[in-house]
Amino acid sequence: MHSMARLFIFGGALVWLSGCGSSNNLDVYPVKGKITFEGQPMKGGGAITFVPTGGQAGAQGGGEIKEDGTYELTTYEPGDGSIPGDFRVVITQVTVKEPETSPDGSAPIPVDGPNVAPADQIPQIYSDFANSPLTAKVEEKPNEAMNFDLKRQ
Amino acid sequence: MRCSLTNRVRERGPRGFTLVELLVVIAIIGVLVALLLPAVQSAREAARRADCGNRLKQLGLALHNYEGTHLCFPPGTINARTDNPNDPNGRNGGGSVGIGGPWICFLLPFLEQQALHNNFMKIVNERPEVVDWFGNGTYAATPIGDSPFKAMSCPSHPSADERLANGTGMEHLARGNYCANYGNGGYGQVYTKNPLTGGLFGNHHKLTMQDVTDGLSNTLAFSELKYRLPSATGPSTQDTRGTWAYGVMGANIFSTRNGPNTAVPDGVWGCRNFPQLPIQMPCVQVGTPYTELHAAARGYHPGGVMVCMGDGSTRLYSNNINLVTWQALGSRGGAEVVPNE
Repeated sequence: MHSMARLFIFGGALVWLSGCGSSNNLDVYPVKGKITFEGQPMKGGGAITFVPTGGQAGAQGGGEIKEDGTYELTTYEPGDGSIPGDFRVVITQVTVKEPETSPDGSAPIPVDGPNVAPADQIPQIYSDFANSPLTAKVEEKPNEAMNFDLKRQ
Repeated sequence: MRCSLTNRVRERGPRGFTLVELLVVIAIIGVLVALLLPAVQSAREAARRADCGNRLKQLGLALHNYEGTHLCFPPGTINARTDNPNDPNGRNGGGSVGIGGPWICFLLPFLEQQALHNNFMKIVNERPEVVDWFGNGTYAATPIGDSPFKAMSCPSHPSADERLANGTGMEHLARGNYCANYGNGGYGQVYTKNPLTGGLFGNHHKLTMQDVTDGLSNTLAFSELKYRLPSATGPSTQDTRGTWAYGVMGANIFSTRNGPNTAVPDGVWGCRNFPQLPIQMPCVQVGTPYTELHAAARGYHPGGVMVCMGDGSTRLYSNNINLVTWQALGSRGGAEVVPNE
């Protein structure tokens, strides 16, 4: 009976070992929010990047800013959030859209997407990877209202 | 006690296995097979990754042979007709300024593709807006860029024979994966000429080995990019990312502004957003200013991307690499301390 128990422990250990090494993702916490420019939702959509400034290791979170100014960060799986810590926030606005082409590639199809008027374009400094003035702190809990209001300069 | 027990067994003579013993043995064999099977599956990917590393290595050797001949590294792109030094490849298809010849075309003679290089030089000598004429019918007899090039294709990338066709004269260009390092800024010379941000290749300017003050073993030369697979959701033919003969950001040029395989959208003019896993090619169209275009290294290897360093060594960098380290590897003269991992 004693040797049988030992066998089962050995087998159990094998099963347990085989479960290792499947994932090396770091812990991430949800981050959501809204980008406004002078109080109004940022027009045209764009991209948001969280650049780690605290020397944290790990993949950066980023996401798409929708037409209504809302965003949701992704690091590994869609919408999973960001690693915690301090970040510089970089916001890129899509001001011009490339025309789609027809299926045979001969003639461009007119764009129905937004072309953002100069008055609604955010200042370049917010898109500057090294010098964007926006900062954020991601806590180890759901960060549901990480909003940024951009100002004309 | 023990003596009497063995004696008793001997008295009974040799016996067979009990049912429980058999079940235990079968269970152990099952566990061992279960351990082995995933290993076999990932062995295939490991082999493809080794092949990928070898192809990057060949590019690294070609780069050094080029340097040995010309005493400098090839420029990332060239364009003689530039009104704006930060924007030599601007106004895609707009007419006045064309798109320059990319780094890979200068390496062709060192990859035993002299004939392709001759085709390239013919276009260079006749057309200032070089790449606009790649894949064009005018040069049907001396084509370049319109067929896949094995030395620029990563075996781990799912294969697709679809060509880039974005309707701006850039027709029928074949896909590819390997890309040159423009550093941790963007596409413009304002970044590539600055040693703190620029990589091993520059936009319409060339670099020498002594420009790489961080050291060639601490500076990235090449990495890999994904190209779009044909899909029902969105025109994959119009996404310029991953096109081997096209010298623009995201096509055969990458930046270390964002980490490898990041969820941060690339900023590329002429891309189509596709963030869904496992393809994961998020992007926003950034047309102005051209200097800010950026595209992260992306690949299908689990856990990271393959790179070739400036000294020709190849390795895999994790997706979880510290961004500061990745950017330090991207710049040629940032004087950063790179952890010796």
